[in-house]
Amino acid sequence: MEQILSSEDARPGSALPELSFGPISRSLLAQYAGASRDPDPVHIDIDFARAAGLPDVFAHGMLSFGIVSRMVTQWCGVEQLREIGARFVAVTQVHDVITCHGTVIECFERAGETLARIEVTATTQDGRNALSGEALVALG
Amino acid sequence: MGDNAASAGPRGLFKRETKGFVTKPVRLQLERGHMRFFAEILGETDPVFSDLIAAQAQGYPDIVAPPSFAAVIETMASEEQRRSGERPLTEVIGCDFRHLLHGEQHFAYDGLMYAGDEVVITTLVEDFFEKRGGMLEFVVLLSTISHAERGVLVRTRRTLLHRFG
Repeated sequence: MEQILSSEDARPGSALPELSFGPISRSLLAQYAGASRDPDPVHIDIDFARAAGLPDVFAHGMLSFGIVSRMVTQWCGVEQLREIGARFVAVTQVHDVITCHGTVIECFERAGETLARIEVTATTQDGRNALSGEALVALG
Repeated sequence: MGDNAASAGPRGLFKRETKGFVTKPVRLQLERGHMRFFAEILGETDPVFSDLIAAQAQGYPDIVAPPSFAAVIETMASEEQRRSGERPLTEVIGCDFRHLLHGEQHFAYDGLMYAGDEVVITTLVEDFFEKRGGMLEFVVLLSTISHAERGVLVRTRRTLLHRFG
């Protein structure tokens, strides 16, 4: 993380190294629920999910968000991340494999820093879009 | 989109009168073991998230919280409210887990969070709104996570929703 990305590394259109994660298992969801302290039983308790009219438990949106954040900070270093945000477009199911993509959209100046705006997405193996958002990263 | 007359069932479960409610500040200790476990579950490979020596070698006082750990702090605040005999925010605003989904999440970082930090979080119930004629019901929560000496570290915006049918 010592080397800070420059505007040369982050030209509009350049892609971040993609990152795949999964398949998402039930035990991973249990571990993520504990690690994230999420109290929502719908992610880990199939009895609860069925009683709520759902076919099965489903993954935490923040799990995909965490993987997308990891993709971005593996690229730029955690200290360079200024903002990250996403909309959870579709639910991620048990056994899904998530692949995260990031693309530089533009570079601009804000408060004396050069920032790269990165479009980020997480998609499942069958092409469903689970999450889409963007990150702002400070360049050196 | 107009009201869908066919949509029976529960509607409007959020307690919209809580718009503008601000939680009392909740004080939380960030524990190294917890942060490391969270980083491991996400498959973080950068040692600044898990290895004290590596983090210190890069000039950090302790291991660094992964970016999405800020959401964990939001959840821990609810736990702490319950522990101290207050109603957790999720209950105050009327979250019903049978219908609840996470709609959006946004973080703006002014500083890093380290293991060992004591942080303070406050949350504002910013707004409620509906879509699809009330079939989707949203709440927007704004939180500020700060540190006594280093000031504001993270500002979060969390959108939760109830989906009816």
